[in-house]
Amino acid sequence: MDDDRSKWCFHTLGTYINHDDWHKTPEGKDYFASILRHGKRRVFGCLESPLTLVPSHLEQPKIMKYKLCLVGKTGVGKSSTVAKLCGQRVPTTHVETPGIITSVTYWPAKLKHSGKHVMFRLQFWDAGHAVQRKFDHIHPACREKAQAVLYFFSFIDRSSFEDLRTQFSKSLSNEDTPLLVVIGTKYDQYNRSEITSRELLDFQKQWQVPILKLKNVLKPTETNALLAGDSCAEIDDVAPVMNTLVEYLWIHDQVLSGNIELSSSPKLNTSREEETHSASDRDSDEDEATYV
Amino acid sequence: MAVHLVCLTNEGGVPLFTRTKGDVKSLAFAEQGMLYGVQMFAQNHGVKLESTTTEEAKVIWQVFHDSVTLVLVTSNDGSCDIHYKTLINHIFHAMVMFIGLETLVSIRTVEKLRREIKVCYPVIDTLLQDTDLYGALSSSVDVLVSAENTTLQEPLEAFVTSAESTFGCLHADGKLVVATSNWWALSGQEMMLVAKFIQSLPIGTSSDVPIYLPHASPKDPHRLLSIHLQPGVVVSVLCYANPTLAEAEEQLIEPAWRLHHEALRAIQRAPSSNIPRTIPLDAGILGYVLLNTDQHKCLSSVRLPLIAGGAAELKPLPPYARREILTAFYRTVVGGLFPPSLSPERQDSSGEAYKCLPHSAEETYMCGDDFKTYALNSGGFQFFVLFSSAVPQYAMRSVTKNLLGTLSKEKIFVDRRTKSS
Repeated sequence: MDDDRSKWCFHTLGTYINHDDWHKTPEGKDYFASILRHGKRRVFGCLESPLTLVPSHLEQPKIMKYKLCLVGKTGVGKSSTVAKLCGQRVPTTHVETPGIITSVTYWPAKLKHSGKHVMFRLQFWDAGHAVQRKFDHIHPACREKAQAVLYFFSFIDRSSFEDLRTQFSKSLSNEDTPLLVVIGTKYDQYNRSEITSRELLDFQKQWQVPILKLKNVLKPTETNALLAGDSCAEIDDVAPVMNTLVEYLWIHDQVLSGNIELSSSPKLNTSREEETHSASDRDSDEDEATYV
Repeated sequence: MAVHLVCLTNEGGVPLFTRTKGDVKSLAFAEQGMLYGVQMFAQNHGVKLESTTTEEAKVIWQVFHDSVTLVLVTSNDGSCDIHYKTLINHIFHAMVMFIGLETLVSIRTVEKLRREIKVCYPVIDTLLQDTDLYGALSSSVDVLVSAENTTLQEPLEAFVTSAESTFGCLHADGKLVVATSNWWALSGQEMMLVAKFIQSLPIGTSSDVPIYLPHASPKDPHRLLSIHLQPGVVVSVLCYANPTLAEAEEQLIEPAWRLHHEALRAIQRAPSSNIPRTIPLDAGILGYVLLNTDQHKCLSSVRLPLIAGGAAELKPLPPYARREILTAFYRTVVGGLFPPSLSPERQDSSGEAYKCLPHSAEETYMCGDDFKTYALNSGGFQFFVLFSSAVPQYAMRSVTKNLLGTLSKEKIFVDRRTKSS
């Protein structure tokens, strides 16, 4: 498994952004305090921003805005993933999204090379699958100027994975070069998985995209911890995924603007075999954001 | 109180969806078929089956446009059928709002309709739930009275104009705060359904959703842009192709609303009484519902704070009990004594009890073990007040009249509708 993984690490995670529980360090805590309120994630309206809440004695972080477009079959877990990553309650039953719904979440991070702090502002553009088919304007509006496209499949729905291939061939013909990420949902039901790890590897090999595995459910104990207002529990829970996502976005940006040199293509597909994956020293069963 | 809702095609009785409220299993396929069969049997014999009562429950049938049959099974509280029919009517129009009248009238493929109809569930479920808001019950939109009602009119107009529209409004916590004159000209049901939808959106989001106005444009969709300015405070505008959601968010919000942070924050923190703290309330009042039947506005609260030393403090009723009593009182009085406030489009069969009265009732009251209620019907307003049982009977009339006098003069009840349409 480790061999496979090292072969397909696109970029060593943690090279550019501090992963290792930065949010638990005293410095990280100060920054994370600006996106929390009573131990829960603070919700920001269109007119608000966490910058005013960063204590004045700290270095004011630069806001990095990203638009992320979500693509995937109906019921695959797009809206639930957004709710999870934004620190909101994940609905227990499937709710069909009636149009475009965009959600903003902020995530502070520290850049390793410069030591500078940045505040990532991720705007997720989520649109219901049924409504996209009925109205033509929805999908273009989501794709317009999106820096990243997140493709969703569900581990317990084989057809959602099959759909990915067609969607990939469609999107890659576009001229703009957004970051592509594949997200596999319902990983908690791994024993019912209809997709083998070999297939995932092959897919990754073919399209050169990172695949994140998510479970949008909480164990009862974790729910209790959240309700008890333990400020770190929820952040702890999503930190691996969020850090991975923002690091990929940042690297993609840097590559596009030529600040980071990659050997050949503009995509994040340099496979440096000698480097081991930073996530490999963690327990891969516990980690939601490991790579195949 | 358990509720079952079954939606079937009128031709063939194919189930489209079912919803339930409360901790109950949804009806079995055979039960759904039976409910449909009874109605179909009547229909084939030239009889329109409207409702029936069992020992505990009430069943209401309604066929819309000879295409969709809705069946509502709910516990019988003894109130007029009009309230059940209002609910079933709201449910159908919520379906129209999301998928359009044409799709519902001429059903091509049932499978496709079943998939499309799923977008209606959140609003339909809200309609079935008990809420602190009385808009759905009274076919009107819930409003909020605050000092900012006038301050926020100007930025709203500016924003709506910049979005090349004349339909726009601002909601706080599911209640309408300000709206353009064209918005106020919509029917009470439309304003209420849009408010319910906006309330169902995840907090902090911006959205661009195609909606059909059930009465104003049931066949042509518009785009409803709704943007959370602050958590719980949402500005909405109804438009055609332009502007895009991204344009509205990035270019139009800032100029219109930048200078109004404080006013927005004030309505976000509006008191649970839904009226400004400057309006004096009698200490014996636990809750109220005020309807403007002509403009289809509803102002209500069941969360009035208990005033220390006041009469209500002796036997405090929790908010859910206040809500239940006020709802029951409203359902008994309206239809029974007072005329219901309905959308003009609605053509229901007559036979409501209030029509049999020799004169029109203007006031009524009711006393229970732990509460007293008083209702007034005067000058386009219907006012229902819940008192603590400690308040003496003789005081209720004057207290109710005084409060109505004060509240009815509030800016929110100024008629802002454009008359031309």
